[in-house]
Amino acid sequence: MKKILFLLIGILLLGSCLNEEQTTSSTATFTVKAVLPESFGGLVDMTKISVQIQSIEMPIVYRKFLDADGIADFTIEPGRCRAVVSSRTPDGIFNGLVSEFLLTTYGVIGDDGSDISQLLTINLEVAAAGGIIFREVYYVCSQTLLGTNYLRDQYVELYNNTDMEFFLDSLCLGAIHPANGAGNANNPWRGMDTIALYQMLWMFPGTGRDYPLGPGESAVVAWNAIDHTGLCTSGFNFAKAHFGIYDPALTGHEKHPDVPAMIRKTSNSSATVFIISISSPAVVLFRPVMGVQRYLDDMDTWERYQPGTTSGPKYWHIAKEWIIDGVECSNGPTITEKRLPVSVDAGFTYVNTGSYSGRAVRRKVEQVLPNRIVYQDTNNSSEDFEINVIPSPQLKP
Amino acid sequence: MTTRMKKYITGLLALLICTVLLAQEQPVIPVAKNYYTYDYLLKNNFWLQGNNATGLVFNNKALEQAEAYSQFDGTVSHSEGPFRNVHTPVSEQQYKLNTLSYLKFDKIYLYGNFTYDYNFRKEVQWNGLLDPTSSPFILADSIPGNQALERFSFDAGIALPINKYFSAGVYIDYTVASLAKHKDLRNRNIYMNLLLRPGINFRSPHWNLGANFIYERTTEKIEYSQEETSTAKTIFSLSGLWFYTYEVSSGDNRRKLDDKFGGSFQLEFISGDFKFYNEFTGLYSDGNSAETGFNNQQFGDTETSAFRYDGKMSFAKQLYLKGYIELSSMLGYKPIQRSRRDPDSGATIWTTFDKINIYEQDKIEYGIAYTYEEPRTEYNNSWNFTIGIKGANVETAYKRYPLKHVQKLDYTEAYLSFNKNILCKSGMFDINPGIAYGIGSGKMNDRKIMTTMTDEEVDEFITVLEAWQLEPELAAEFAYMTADRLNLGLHCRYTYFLSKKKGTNLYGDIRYNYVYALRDVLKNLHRNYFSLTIGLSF
Repeated sequence: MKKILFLLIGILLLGSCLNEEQTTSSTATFTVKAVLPESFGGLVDMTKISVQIQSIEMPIVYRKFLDADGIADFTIEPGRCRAVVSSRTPDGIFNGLVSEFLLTTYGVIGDDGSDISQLLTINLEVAAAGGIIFREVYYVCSQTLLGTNYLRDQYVELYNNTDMEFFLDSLCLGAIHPANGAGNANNPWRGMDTIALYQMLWMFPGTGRDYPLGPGESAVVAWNAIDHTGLCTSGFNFAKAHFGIYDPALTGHEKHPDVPAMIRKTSNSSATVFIISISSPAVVLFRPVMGVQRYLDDMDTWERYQPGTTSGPKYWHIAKEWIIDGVECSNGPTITEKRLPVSVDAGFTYVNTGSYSGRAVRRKVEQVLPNRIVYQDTNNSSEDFEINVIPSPQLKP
Repeated sequence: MTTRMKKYITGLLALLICTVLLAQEQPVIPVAKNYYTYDYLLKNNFWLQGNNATGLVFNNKALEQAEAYSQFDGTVSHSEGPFRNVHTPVSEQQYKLNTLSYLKFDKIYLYGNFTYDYNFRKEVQWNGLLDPTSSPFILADSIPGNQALERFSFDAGIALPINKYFSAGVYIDYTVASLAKHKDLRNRNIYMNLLLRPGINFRSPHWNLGANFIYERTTEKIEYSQEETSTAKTIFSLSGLWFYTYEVSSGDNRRKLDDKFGGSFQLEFISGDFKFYNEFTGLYSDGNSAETGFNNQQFGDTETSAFRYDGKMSFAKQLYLKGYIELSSMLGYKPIQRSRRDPDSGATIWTTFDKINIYEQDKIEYGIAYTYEEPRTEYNNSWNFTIGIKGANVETAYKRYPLKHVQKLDYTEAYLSFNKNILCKSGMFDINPGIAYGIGSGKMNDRKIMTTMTDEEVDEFITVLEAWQLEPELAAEFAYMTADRLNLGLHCRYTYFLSKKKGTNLYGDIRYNYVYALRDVLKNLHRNYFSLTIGLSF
């Protein structure tokens, strides 16, 4: 019986009308070349630097180390990919990013869809470890005690990762547009030198030296600086937060009287509440080099419509060089739109326990010193952050 | 009145009474059509279960006896039990109306069938398509909820002898259905299937040959939505062997489209009481899953080829031997595409540049059965039994270079059924017990490497950031498909000869099935099936 079956199979497969070539070709071969900044040419051991090719659609990462010429050959499954270099070597922290490229069985498809190349070039940048960093980002929100969604308990925690004192006065906090980096996200600003802000930015109050942040100290900025105990499953007591997102004109926010309010600066958004994406926000801490007021007075330069439109909302832009720290977040191990440049964040972190699950992302501890903790900061949140942690904001006593 | 007159009157009355008594209706013998069941037509003409509508012309003998055969029935059925597949409901009720007719009108042979059924399913999950096994690329959700399926199906055939040797005919089948889940995330599916099979045949005393073309189009539109907004829901995009991506979303939609082309050849040899029918069928199907709007986003293509052989043999209408084998192969392709915002319209448009094969499934299905019938008359059997074996071997692979996950499963079932027909004055009673024993085996999820790399080299080269295969569902489906099982069934039918002159019958049919898992993780789980049919044949 078996022999007859196999004979029939053999005869019939000979006449198979399926394309044999398509049944076997499921890989693409291409070359990655990493290029150092000119000032570092020839002085860096490239074999210590690894390249990661991340699939944008699936949670798969391919990794190879470069050869001495900064080249690595890959044979991987085609698709929408991202190439990331993020290596801490004895020569420094090197980050490089090609945020999206399309790899087919024929090669890498160019931006205009016509060029096909077997070579992908990544320009590396030297990443400087920052002073004030995001220690914890909590964006997925939680639930009421009755099990419905509770969107009022978002917060970020800033941390002084150095041994010097910094001042928060006039630093700005914001989220990046497009608000979501996962799902059906589409970045209309792709390819631009500046970064668009989402809805509004919030400035720390003070005249210059009113709000110091000492070595190893935290500052929690709560979206609603009230005591959430008994209101939701997170139960944060943000009446002890250091700052609160609050403006009397925004009817959707509350704040304890003892908590200083952030100062709202807005584009022409008509929102009555400021809430960052509960699935995949990108948050930034920045300071315009010319000062906030002169930045706001020059909106002809920094404010623009979405490409291809001449009406609707206008978005404020900032230069990537102004960013002190930024964190790109997602809702799972893939991200559709990478919004932050590689010099700010070469990767992304995520909470994948679901929206309203009450989890957060927290920076990894690199070193514990007698008087402070040093957190990991390679400007690559894929490596620097722990995922799905139970939030532990360092509030005022 | 004189005595003689009284005697005359008494005698006349007595004669009249006797005449009346003797003139009572004589018992009417049922005509041949009273003994007809639909099964008789199918056994008398093997072409009726084939792909070529011209086989209707071989109904001549049966329809000569009966002029036409029609039946109309309604069925209520219920099934429930924990022994089920992942996307099978916990329980299901079906209400069905069906009417079927074979008719000869002058030289034209006609067939028509209409079916309406309504199904209410309880606690269904992972059921994003009417047939979740028809494609690896499915949208689905994990939350169990009630589901309603309503279906209208119409099929018809016509055959006409062109001359002494040749006939031409065509068969059409049109089905529309809607499926709706009543709990978030809720899917609403609109389904359409159209099948056309034109054909010709050549008739001779000993050899009948036929050929037909097959075209089938199936479309299914799937819309997921959420009514209650206080909690977030997750929707899964599956792509084979329960590998998935997901998003937290209040809705999504897809369109599934399949086009199938093919043909069949028939060859029948008849010599005296011996008949041997063969049908060879080849099919190629092209499927596509895409979004329903205008931005052209693709989710996966499938290509399927299938080859099938059906053989049926009969001798003296007592001995029947039937066998089939089908070999099919499905390939699933992932599109390589990206989106761009159109500068003029502002719309997001997806462009597909390439596609790669990520899914393969090879399937072999086979069966053979022997039936013996002890005839009472030409149209009626005293008893019969059937013994047979059927099975399937399926190998499925999911590829993510350099990794390949392979699943193999084998299932074989042997069955035996017996039918006893008891004749009464006013009707007949059929009692039909049956038993089947099935055994299964296989490998659920074998991780293979598609290159010459070692395991350590592969682990260094590729990292899967988290488990993205729904392992509980994979295990549950595999356990069900390979579970050893015992299937006990009883089918009873009472046929009442409503009109013995016209051959009209009223029938009632009860079926009960009990399936019981014998070993491993599903041991002692069972499922019951019960149905009641009442119908009229004429």
